[in-house]
Amino acid sequence: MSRNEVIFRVAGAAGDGVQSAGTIITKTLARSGLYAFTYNYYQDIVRGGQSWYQVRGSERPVKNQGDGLDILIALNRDGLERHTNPEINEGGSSPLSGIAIYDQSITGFEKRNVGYAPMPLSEIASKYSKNPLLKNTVAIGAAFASIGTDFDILAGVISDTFGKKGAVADQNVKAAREGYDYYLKNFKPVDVKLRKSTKKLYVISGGHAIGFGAVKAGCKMYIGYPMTPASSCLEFMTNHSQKFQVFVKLPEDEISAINMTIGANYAGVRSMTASSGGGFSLMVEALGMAGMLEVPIVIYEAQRAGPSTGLPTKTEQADLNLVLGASQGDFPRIVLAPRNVKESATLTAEAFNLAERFQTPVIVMSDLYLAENFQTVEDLNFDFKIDRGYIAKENTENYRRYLITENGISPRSFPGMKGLMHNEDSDEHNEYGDVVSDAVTDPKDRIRMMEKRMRKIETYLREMPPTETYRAEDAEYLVFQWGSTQGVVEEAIDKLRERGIKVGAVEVNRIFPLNRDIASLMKSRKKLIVVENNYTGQFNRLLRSEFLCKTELVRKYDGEAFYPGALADELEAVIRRN
Amino acid sequence: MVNVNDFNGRVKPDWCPACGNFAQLSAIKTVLAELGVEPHDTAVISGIGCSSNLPEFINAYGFHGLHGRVLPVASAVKWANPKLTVIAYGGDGDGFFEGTQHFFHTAKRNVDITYIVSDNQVFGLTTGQASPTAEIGFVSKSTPDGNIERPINPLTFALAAGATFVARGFSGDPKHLSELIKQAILHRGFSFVDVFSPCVTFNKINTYDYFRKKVYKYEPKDPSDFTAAYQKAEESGERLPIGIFYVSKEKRYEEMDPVWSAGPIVDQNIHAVTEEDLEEFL
Repeated sequence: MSRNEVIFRVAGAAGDGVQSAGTIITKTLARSGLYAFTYNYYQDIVRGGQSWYQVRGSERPVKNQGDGLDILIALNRDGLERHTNPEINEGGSSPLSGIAIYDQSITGFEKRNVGYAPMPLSEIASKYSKNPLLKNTVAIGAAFASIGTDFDILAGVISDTFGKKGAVADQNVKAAREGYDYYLKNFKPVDVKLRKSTKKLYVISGGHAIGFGAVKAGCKMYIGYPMTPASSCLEFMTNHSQKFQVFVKLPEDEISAINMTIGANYAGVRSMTASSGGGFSLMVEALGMAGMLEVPIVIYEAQRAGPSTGLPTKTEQADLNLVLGASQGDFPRIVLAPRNVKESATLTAEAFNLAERFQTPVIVMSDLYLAENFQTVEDLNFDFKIDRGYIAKENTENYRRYLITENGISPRSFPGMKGLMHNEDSDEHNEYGDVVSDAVTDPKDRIRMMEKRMRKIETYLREMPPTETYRAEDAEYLVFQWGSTQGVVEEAIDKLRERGIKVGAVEVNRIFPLNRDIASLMKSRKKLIVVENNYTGQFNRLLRSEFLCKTELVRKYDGEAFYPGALADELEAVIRRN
Repeated sequence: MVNVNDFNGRVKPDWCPACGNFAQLSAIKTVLAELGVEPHDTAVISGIGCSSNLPEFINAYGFHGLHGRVLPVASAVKWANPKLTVIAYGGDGDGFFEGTQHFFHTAKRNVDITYIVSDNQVFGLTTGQASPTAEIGFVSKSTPDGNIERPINPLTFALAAGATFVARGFSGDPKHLSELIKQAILHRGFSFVDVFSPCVTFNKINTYDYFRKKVYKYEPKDPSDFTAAYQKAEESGERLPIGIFYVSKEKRYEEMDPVWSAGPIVDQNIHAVTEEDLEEFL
């Protein structure tokens, strides 16, 4: 029986156009009404090295990059050898099953038991242009021929990619056509059947979705210093600054970035900043100031493999301790972790509402895996209502910015509003904002203010939506995941269910404070297993400390994401272990 | 009509009697009233240090933030709402140690804010360590054998960074100081006023008498002459010029980004995302 999903991989060196080729493949799938998920394996290098870009396409929604490989486009010899060799086939748990498309000038390599399609890629390309990257387009044509995709859809994507009706677009379409025809004439189709659909599918990465969610939420100032993998959001905002009327600023450092973000929000404009762990570390002092001043801010923290500079182009979930513990003293903070691309948009939008409603920092944590990989999304333009929280009326008599309230939330005011002048102070202060730390420290004021601020967390907990689960109802074994690992955990669970193991998952996207309903979800299970992309099990520790539970831990810290097959096997081993 | 008393804060200043900061607070209030700026249209942003406590002592929108970080906050407040008069205020430790990079880049950007530095050559709040403007030989808690590090010159630094308004005043001459601050607030662009402001408790060298003997009023023939301003700013030793050293008309940051063409960001509508907007993702 032929498969109704396909995994492409484009392999080559940095500068070979690996990613552009991957993007064309992804868009062609999406425009055929097929779901897609991409995975970009690359190095911290502008040219050279070895990188690859994987695209998984399917008739059904795809949640992760998938195991195995159907169609390889090898742009160099190293790529061809590496991805046909089952022993060094990075990531995927099974070797190439379909065909390897490559330039016929590559010879003398060790043949494996896989299908080969040597093609005159460069020769065809040279007929249309001197640009050596045109051979990639020839190969893409061949790849889609191998699974019988309509050429017209591919031609449309290529044409849009290379500037609509220009000469370059024309060259590319012709080159792809020739690759397409050459493949059909000389090689067998790959055993994959994908039925087109009329679904409207958007292709967007997690990082871009964060930016999009911010725009939906009315973010008008985006201030960020570039750092992989947060840069994709900065890039999105810069490219859309005119279209969505967002002020974008790259300042002198991340300290400036967060202080500017605080200044903008203080002045009444929804604003956010973003970085990876290194940049976030520089923001730490100001994070606490936002908590103390009760200025709402949204910070996007995109994790990469640490410590220090670490593996700049690799993924990890090892900044949780940093984010939870950042800045001196106790103050309320909300930490969210979107679990997929769609949620990167929706949860970021919500973050702005939460920040303004609770007047405190909200940190949206993602990682390189989620930020840089593209997924198809059905309803990107989700419903969203802006809630700016409690704002005072002008000329309020006896206005107190930090009014003691039951829910901990006090009336905000912005410079320019009449009759609400006050001081916002990083020193401990009273209801009016007057400092209580200088002349005589009043312990009563201190206690009242501390408790008022911290009550906001209780208020938030009371309205938090229930924690989401996956096949958990009858599960004897419960897997806990947070953030980007949702898709791979769900597929691993499906595999284990097929093996007759009653297993389900708790999928956490509200990391701090943790919903107390997790305690009841934990009850009467044989084992609780935490899956996370780090060495020490940072989320595991949080769960243990919050719920005093006994857990098992499945970790990965090689810089790559989990793969569903390998994860299923590892979970099964943990489940069967006494 | 705005009255100077409209700017009286809820809290009385708790600086040491005769501290140079008093003259600056008074000058700021007087000038704002004179210019008819309403308290609610004024944002006074500061960092950390004795002088940085000022926002508490003035009736306006005050923001008392972090050591060294006054300028990023002040810039963003101005960007969010250019209708506001934004005054950034702090000390020499705050501005020229931890805040150095922000000082440089804010000056270069020509953000339309006024930055006033109470420059007393010493850390007051932490009870007397040498600041970045402390002279060689200055004995303090951090330099018991005398400071061996050369002081920075805030004026030449500001000029080199590209500040479009550079001035220096003296807390012992409040009338002259008020005029400088007035011109600074009126200036369209980044205006910087360094103020000799004696610390009566921790600096027994750079006293009122010390400055009274040395300062003299300077008025350049051509305030836009950069070289003349730089040379004048370099004067040190027995004679210390005060006045407006340099003024140049450059585009403000807020004039250059098209985002403000639709009015102050704080008043702008939220862009409602349409299906058409999403076409690029198909």
